[in-house]
Amino acid sequence: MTASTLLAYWEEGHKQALHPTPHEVLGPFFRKGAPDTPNLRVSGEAGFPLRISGKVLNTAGQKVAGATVELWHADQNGRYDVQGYRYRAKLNVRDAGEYGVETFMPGHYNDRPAQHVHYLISAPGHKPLITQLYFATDPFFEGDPDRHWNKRGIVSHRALIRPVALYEGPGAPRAATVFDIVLEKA
Amino acid sequence: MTITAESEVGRIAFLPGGLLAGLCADGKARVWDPRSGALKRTVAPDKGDSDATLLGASSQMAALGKDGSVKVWNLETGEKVRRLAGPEHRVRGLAATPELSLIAGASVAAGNPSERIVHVVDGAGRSRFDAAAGLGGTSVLAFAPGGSVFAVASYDTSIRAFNSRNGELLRHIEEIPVATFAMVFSPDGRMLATGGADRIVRLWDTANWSLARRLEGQPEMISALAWAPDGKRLLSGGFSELTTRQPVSVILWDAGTGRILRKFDAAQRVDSVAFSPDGSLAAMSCRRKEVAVWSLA
Repeated sequence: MTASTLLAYWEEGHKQALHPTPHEVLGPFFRKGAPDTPNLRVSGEAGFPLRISGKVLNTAGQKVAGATVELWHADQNGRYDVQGYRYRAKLNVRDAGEYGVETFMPGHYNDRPAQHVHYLISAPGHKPLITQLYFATDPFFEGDPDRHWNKRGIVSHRALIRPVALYEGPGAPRAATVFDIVLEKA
Repeated sequence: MTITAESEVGRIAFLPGGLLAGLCADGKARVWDPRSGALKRTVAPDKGDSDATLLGASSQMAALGKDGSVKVWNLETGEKVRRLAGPEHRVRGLAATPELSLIAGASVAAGNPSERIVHVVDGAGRSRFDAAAGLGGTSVLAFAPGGSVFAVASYDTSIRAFNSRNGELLRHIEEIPVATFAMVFSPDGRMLATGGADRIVRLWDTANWSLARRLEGQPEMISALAWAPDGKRLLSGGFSELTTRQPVSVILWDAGTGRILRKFDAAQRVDSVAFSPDGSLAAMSCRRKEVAVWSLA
């Protein structure tokens, strides 16, 4: 085997470096036409401040330009705003391939007791992706998401439960989580 | 009057003779006399069957077998009467015309689990057409009476109406901002009623596919709709976004004026509403071991 064949193998392997983000259901509460705003915190509303950020990548690990990331979640009491756009954003990721929002940690609700954020991502030349983000700190996972990730069949893939960093913010602790999205080519 | 059932009742439909059928959580269909509440018969699909659906107008129940075939039971006799080929793809959310001349289901698109495809086949299992049906799952499938038009609503908020004969897209409704959970054609096929997360019942004129009327006043999201046999009244049932167990209302509408004629209470998210064939009774199920029957006389 020549060095150039080896290099070709290595490059091929490198191109497939990332697994596409797993799909999940859209859920009944999607509302289209959300504003393109990175700040979802409603002033005067209580909640644990949360920053969600991430990159939009292809399976070769390159940033995807021109993606649209729609995300939405329930309020602290587990209620979705279906009449308006509280805790809903449609972010135009543009060329940077990165997104981020400031919001509150979603609440729990009876019918789906794990905290989650819904995503609908589309980008030119890529397959649309519907998925959900879950939080490793969620009491639903009983402190051990590796063991309890599939409890009651709610979460379809362990990879969708992301670590949460807690840090001292101005006046109160805050949470931050990173959720990179990997799209497949169309 | 309240019919009590051994098992929680989901979808309901009246049969032409006036009996009421309900699909229960234990997988069986039950048929009651809606005036006395007496159980007339229980019809059980085979083990492993899924997506049971009531075809009230022909007194039948259809269900998908594990092998993808469509099995049909007569709800008057309880007998399994037919077995049809069904769509070739693995589908969910079975819909059919009363005589099973057309059968539809939705499958996950090959190559992208976020996309859905609808498949419409005839009674012999021959494909009429396959069509893209949106992202994230289909919420309702509906045939117009006579089967000439087929509509599919997606959780991505879009609704598509097709000519069932050739798959021509007649209308792609994109002006509803939220998902549609209930969708039903009027008995004469002239109107398509839709209702969902924004609490509005919309009536679409199928002659030109314009929005003919909005019925506003349901306090909750809408999870169930039914047309009266004369096409002049509609029933809508609610669904609270807080939890499925929150009490909600059932509304009787004048479809022509949009006026609320009556309001009834439901203990929790309404699964199904129905009018008796003579239009004198309304029935409602909400996944409890009972069916509410109200006299409209």
